[in-house]
Amino acid sequence: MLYDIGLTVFNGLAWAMATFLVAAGLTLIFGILHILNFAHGGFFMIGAYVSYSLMTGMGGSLPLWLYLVGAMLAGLVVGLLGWAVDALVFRRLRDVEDAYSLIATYALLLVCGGAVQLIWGLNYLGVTPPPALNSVVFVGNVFMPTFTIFIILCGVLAYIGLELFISRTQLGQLIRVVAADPWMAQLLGLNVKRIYLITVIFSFAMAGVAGALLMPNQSLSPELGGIFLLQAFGVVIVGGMGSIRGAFLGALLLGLIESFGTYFFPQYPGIFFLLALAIILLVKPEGIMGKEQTA
Amino acid sequence: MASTEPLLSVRGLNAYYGGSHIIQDVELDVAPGECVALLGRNGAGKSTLMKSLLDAGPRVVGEVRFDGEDLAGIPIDMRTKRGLVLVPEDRRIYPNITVAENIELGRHAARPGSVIASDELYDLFPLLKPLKQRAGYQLSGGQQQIVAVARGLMGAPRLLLLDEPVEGLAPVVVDEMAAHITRIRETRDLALLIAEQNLSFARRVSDRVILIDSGRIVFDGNWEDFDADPQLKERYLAV
Repeated sequence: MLYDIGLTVFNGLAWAMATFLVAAGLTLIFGILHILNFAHGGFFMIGAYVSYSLMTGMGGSLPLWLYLVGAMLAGLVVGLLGWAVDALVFRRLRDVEDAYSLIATYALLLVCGGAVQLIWGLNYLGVTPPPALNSVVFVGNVFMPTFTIFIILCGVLAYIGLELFISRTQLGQLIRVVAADPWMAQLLGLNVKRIYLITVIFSFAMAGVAGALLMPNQSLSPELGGIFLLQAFGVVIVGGMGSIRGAFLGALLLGLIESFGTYFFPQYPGIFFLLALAIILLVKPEGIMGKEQTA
Repeated sequence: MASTEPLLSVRGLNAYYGGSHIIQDVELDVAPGECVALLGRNGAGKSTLMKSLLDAGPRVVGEVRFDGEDLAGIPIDMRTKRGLVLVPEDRRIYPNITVAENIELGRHAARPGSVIASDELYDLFPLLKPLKQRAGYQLSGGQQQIVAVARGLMGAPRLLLLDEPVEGLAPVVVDEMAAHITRIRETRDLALLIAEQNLSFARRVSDRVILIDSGRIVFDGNWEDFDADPQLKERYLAV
């Protein structure tokens, strides 16, 4: 029994942190720009494919450090795409109704899927994790793949890093100020457009890095974006739209519910996440953290 | 009117919110170092006029020149950085950061070489010294207003636009604000345009008065001329 609980918690954490890595950029863009970016999953997917090309280009199974460098490069590529998206799309969405944002970002998601099909084709692709992460560890009786432990650590580190960045750095404070009242920020001489751009590049880069980090565990296909996007949206909604801390807690909560649900009712995988999402929305529609405190 | 080249010069200014034509053919000048009161009833167009000068809200047509430069096409933050700083009516203190952090934010507007030292600023507003570490949301209305003015000054403005700085404040706080503004004028080389409904406050701090009604300027002159025509007060300011 203890073994089962340990394994189920571990699986829940794995689900939670993989999803948080995707959700972090999504909630950041919503919190600061108030744009619900449907295309986020698409750019996550592009990060995964770029990293796939880098890894296979360098000979497939890479040492850990090269895999991490590849993830950073994928983040850089997707961050630059974020720049283009901000200039071409997001900048035009700032003063229009939300419905336009939804349509525009959904269209972008389709563009991402199409681009991936054109460049990488429709076949399922995949790579193995770096050898250093391709083993298992036993904690007591619980069997833990090192790659999954690595992803959990990445999720926790990403959360701590983001919290410190937003709350402790000067740029983080400016981002909070712009999120709280962009009009006043302009009157104080802040270049709000530039702060939005930095936020978008940063969020996209996070999506790219997340795609690259998670890629070795996935079969890559042009549907990958949609799958993670749904989970990430669930986490962001449950956490409270725009809240980093909420997304982290929401990911943990939904991950554990999904994992325990699947343990008790293995014939219904994936349904407990949706069930929990529906119930939480009914009980606490503003999410766990409600509206994130900005500045 | 001062004989020097005006710091702010507005010609043929019209401003619209949607289909509503709020500001109509406004012309006004503010000379360097001058303090001008912009008086008018609620809804007369004072706030819209101030926002129009920064292109910070309404759709604006017409010419706004600052220090000889036509500001057309220049965005809000760059106008602010040229020394045209607005302290809006609703103060907009950031509630979840401290007073000191709020005031520091004002520094982003300052041009290189014209930065005000924090000490100098807190000497101008001694009331703020004990409040430095307090969060924005913990301030009273009067304290918020003083923080807003201090934050505006941090941008080293050449023309500070104050939108109803004493609205809703207790008489003793109004006196304090008048004293602050007088001291600012003594110590800093800046011009002020103050939108007000409080006649006695406006009179204490300003050199000249502009009356606005239904978006049009109906009087522009000194206080003697204003007092010489008692109808002005009755027609444009009486509630």
